Amino acid sequence: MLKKFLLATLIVLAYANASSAEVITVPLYKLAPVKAVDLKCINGVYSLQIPVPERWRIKRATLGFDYVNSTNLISEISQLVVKLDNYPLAQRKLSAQFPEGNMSVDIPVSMLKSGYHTLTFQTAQHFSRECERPCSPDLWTTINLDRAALRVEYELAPVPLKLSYINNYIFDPKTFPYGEVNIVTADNSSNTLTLAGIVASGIAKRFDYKKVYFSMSRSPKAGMDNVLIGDGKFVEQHLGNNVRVSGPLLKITHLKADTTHALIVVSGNNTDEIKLAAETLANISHSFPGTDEARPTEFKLPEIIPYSGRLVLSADKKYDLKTLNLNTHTFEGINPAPKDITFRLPSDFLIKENQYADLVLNFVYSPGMRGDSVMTIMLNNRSVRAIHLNQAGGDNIEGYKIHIPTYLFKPGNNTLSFVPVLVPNVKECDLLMSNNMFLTLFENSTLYFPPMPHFVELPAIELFMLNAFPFTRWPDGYDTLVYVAKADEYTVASAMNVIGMMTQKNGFPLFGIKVSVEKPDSWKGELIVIGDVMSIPDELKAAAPLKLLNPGTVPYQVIRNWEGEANLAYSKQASGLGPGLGALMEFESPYKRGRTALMFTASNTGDVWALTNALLEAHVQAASAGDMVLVDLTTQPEYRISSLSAGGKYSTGKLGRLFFIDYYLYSYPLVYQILIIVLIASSGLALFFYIRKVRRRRLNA
Amino acid sequence: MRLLALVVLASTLFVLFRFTERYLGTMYQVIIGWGSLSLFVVLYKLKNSQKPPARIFLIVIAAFITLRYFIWRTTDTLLYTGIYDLLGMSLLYIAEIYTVTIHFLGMFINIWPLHSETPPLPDDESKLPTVDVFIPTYTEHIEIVRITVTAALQIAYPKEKFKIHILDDGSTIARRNNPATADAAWERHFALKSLARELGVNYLTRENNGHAKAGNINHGLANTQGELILTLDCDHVPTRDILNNTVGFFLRDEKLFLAQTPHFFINPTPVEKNVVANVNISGENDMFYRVIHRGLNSWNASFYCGSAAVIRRSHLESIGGISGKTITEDAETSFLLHAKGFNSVYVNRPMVCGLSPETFDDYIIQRTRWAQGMIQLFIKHNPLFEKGLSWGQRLCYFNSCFFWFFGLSRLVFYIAPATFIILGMRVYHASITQILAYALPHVFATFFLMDFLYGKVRRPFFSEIYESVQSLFLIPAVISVIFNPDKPSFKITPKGTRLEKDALNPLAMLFFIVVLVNLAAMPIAVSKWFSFPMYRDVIIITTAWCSFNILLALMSLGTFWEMKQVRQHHRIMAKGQVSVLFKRNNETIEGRMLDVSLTGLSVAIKPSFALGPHEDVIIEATDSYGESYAFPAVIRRHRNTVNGYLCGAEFACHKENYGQIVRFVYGDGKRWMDLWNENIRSKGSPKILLNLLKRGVKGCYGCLIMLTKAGKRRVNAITLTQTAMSIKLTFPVVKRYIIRPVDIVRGISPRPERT
Repeated sequence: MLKKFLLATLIVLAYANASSAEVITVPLYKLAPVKAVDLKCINGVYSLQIPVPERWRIKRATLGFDYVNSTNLISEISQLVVKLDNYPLAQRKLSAQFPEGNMSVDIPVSMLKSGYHTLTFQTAQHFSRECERPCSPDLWTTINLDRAALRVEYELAPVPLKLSYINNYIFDPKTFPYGEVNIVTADNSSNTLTLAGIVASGIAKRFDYKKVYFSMSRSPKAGMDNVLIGDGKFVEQHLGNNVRVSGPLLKITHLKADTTHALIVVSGNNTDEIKLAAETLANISHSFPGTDEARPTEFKLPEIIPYSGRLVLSADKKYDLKTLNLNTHTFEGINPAPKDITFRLPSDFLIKENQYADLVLNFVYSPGMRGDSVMTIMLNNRSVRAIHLNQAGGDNIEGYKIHIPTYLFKPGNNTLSFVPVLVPNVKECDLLMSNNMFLTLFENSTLYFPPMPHFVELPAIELFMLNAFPFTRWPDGYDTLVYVAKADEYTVASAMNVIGMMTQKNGFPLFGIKVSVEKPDSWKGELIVIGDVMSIPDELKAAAPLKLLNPGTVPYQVIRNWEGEANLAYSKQASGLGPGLGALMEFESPYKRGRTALMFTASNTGDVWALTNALLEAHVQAASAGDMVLVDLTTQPEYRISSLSAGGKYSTGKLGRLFFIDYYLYSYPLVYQILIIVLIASSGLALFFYIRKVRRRRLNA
Repeated sequence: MRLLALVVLASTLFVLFRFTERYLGTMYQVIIGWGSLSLFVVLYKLKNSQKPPARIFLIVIAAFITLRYFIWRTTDTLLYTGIYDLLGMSLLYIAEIYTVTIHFLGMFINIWPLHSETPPLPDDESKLPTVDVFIPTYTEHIEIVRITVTAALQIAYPKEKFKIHILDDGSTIARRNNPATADAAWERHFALKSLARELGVNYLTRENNGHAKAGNINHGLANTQGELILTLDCDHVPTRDILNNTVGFFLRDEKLFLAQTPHFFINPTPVEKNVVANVNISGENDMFYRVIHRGLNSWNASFYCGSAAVIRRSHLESIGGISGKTITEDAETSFLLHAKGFNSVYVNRPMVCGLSPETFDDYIIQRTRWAQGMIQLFIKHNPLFEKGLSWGQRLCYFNSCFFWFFGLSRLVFYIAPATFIILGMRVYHASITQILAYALPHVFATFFLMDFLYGKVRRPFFSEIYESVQSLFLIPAVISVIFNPDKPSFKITPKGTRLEKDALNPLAMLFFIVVLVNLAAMPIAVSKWFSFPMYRDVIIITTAWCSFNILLALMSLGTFWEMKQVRQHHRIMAKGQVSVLFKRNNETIEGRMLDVSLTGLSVAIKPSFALGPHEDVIIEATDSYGESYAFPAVIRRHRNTVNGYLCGAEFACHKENYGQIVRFVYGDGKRWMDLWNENIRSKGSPKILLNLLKRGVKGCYGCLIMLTKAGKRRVNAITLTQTAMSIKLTFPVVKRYIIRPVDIVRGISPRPERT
């Protein structure tokens, strides 16, 4: 009996231990693009989205924040309200006597179901009991998101053993602050790593923009989700006889002694079969299949078009706004929130002057607004046009055409915003009714972008950070080789991190990418090199802008100068990166002219992995440009970054039928100059001799 | 094979420029554009740049810059932004095609001008061909005819080998029988007949005036037998050596049908005269005869210009005489003879002197005839496809005809920038960087090339003024001949008209409108600068363009202030030593001749005694042939200078010495050569242009006065009609665009296309 009791106690304790809650504290600025919010006017509102992963069972959630309000506010009629999904959680008077305050708000767990929740800070602010200007400078409250935090206590729910839960449950973009996945392989051969790359790419795509760290090992790791890749023998080694591999196989099971994490099996009898299983895994994007295993026999991808990818706008095609995810929308009230359309242009668009994108708008606006009401069209936060809404009786406008010069667009992400400013036609102290003011923008409005050639000057790491250009010119990574200079645990995990990042940038799984541990001297495509300095071949180091040889050449900027103006000194020295410093360098491949090599390196493989982790941070990506980026890994999480353009330039682009001429003319402008001079000289001489002959004939007549 | 080589060369250039333009960045294109221009300027500054092959290299560089611009213009700037924009853009583009074509043709013609050396005449006079000298006349003053005939009689050629014929079309039987013209015709008939009898030349007239001048000459042909024909307009006074310098070509080349010599005018055209008094600006005539015609000569395309030319009768008769299908019978005749495989030659030596039209109205009448005639030739005998011509001749004739469309292109250039600023029509799509990369190098290269080709005879910027002042008036004439090529009739150019006082020609009104339109665009441009920041590049370009238009229109307007011309005979600048024998003290003083005319001469002398009023003198002079002359004269006026006296002497002219005076004044070919060589421009154009600008501003004031009630009466019918026509043409367009919102759409507009 006692034995039974002790056993039961142990089981309870073990269970209690296993299900003990995780605690996570997330600074709010990680969930919003700003560090402080100003709530202005009589009705100030700011909202942000809080994701709740489906596998979380939240035990408790508390929101804490500081605020400062204007000392001109009248406390009795000024207040701050915190809402979740439009339901008030807490409110507080804004006191002129105590303008600084903090709030701690317990969020009811029942409200935090899986999905995205809108957290709103809203103020009602007044400095006068009589009539007042609705947007007087006296009316403000600032919330410091930098010091605000959401503390969540949660525990993980058991993973349902259905393959469809791979999507939006196991690999969930709502996971925060990051995802973690371990890939288990039998070896680090090129074939295996290529398969792992496809799997990593598919997983990263499921996480959408959320950063995900990969690791690789020979056996599953506890405390995270694992993917096991290998043939039947390798699977049997880890799962015993329960799993029979007779062909391509996808299977989900629990991690040993941990039902909250999954072990996903990607297997087959040979590489092709495993690849088929991996590609199938990478594409599961809805609730099918409902079983724990699938045996795929065929996988057919859609036609892969160069330069396609997530939200990429095709040139020479007219899109209506509905297609661009902007349905008919009505802006209401005095200061309605703007609406954005976000799209991407290929990174190598040669944006030419003298070409225009056409935006044709259909909209209607209400009567009774003041004559200075406008709708501003903004492109990448720059106003490009304001439409005057000056008809007192309102208007229905169809086919309002706006030409936007293409040079205002940029390669990569672009945001087109519609920002209405609707002004009521009342005087101060009149009864303000704003409900009559509206502007409806119809979804059949169109946007057309003219045809553009693809041609760009490289190196430009910023383009890699935009959409992994040029490695995703073929969106599936075809024509790209990831060279793992040293096949150790860190370096291969770094390769998976890079592949994951590239996938998330372009939004297309990298089914065509190749990973190799062999020296890539015969590779004629785009090349990604990952490894510590010692293991990278000398010819690659010699081609890089920072020549990590011994002695090596180091470029230094002498003075800060205008962009594009060379102002570099070169020092030849025997030195090195040293621990804690990572380097990312882009340069022309020494194995094929016009192709790109991108090198991730550090003094040891641990730092290489840390470098690839650092590069997953948005602010590190934003600061990476030129052809050489040095990341001080010891300054985590802020990271000290130096970007520089120090190496030679080369060009790449979409090549037409006259490839040879295009290539040489663009790549070697000097050839063109010489050609012009030769042409002029030879035409001049030919004309001279010809006319001389004609004249002689004439003079002898 | 040659054509194939050309096609291959052109294709290579096109492919090269197309791909370069497409793939190299604009900043790189800036370097290429300005680099080429710099290369051009460096070569231009070289000492021997005018001599081939350096000259040809220079022209090829200029061609490269222009071709590059044109390809960019064609491939990058023609964007559809709306139907009205398309219309405006197309008109501008067509105008540019025209100017670029003319620019290339100019390069082609002038690539290596040919100077034909005169072959010597045989010593044996019996081998010389017989020559008939035709002096056609219509209604010109008898005295003008007398001078020309008198000078023709002095021509150094065996007397038995040449005959002079006055071809009188002013007193044909038809005119003498027409009550409206009978009195004048009969009077003229008797006067000319008696003049012919007096001077011992032949007088010919005919039944009627059919085919105008061409018919008159053909009538002369039918009634004479000379192997060669020298044609002289009745105001074209020949030098003595005209046949010595031309007949030799006919002896050398059996297939030669024409030896054309320059028309040399002793009075300036209205444009030249009105620009700046007493400053020789060198006219269009100089440019045509001193540069272009030498270029035409190199391609065996020198054509008959109606006078001062020797023609072989047999070849002329092979095409039935002077052709009369067009009103430029001279060019048409040459064209037909060239097409039959005959040759022509241009003798680059002035051997006649004549008169240009004195007033703007006469000037425009003359140019209208030329324009209409050449366009008739263009339409009726399209030179590009005429059988028998070499491709060089085709291009030369094509250029001579196509050139006359310049009025249409100038009109487009005048209004194009204002259409963007005022009406919002986007007719030219380019950014500042592109303008820097393509347009400006092209504009500068064109300017420098013009200076390179014509700089010796033409001040910079004056070509634009010449073109501009004619442009607007030629448009109706050009359009009418396009729609009805048989409509134009031969209108004789009035010569010897005199102006009693300075006056603003009412034709200036059209330029006043151009100035007003472009001025109106300026404040709108400023307003658009602030309200349409996206268009600032285009606003800068169009505003600069408008400013240029205003300057050009103002300067053109300045030339419409007509300067008075009261002299009976034009003074001719002259050089040479003269001896002045004072009758009262029988003392001979050596002096320097300054100018000469049929009535007298100016001379600088330094006598040891004081001059009295109306001194009787005998002036002795020698011409370049070594012949001595002694003319009794009276010094009518004199004034003291540091170096003595400047005297104006009047010849005591009478029947006996008239021939001698004509021989001395007009017969000396070297005098025209000296003047011809002196006409080379001097620097200092800015001063003249500034002066012209002032006159333009003054002209604007004059136009304003005209527009007042009192002034309106002074506007002649032509101007009113032309202005009314312009307004009638432009009003519907203005109306359409004014009611069309430029940017802000109000009310309901057409539905956009759905996808």
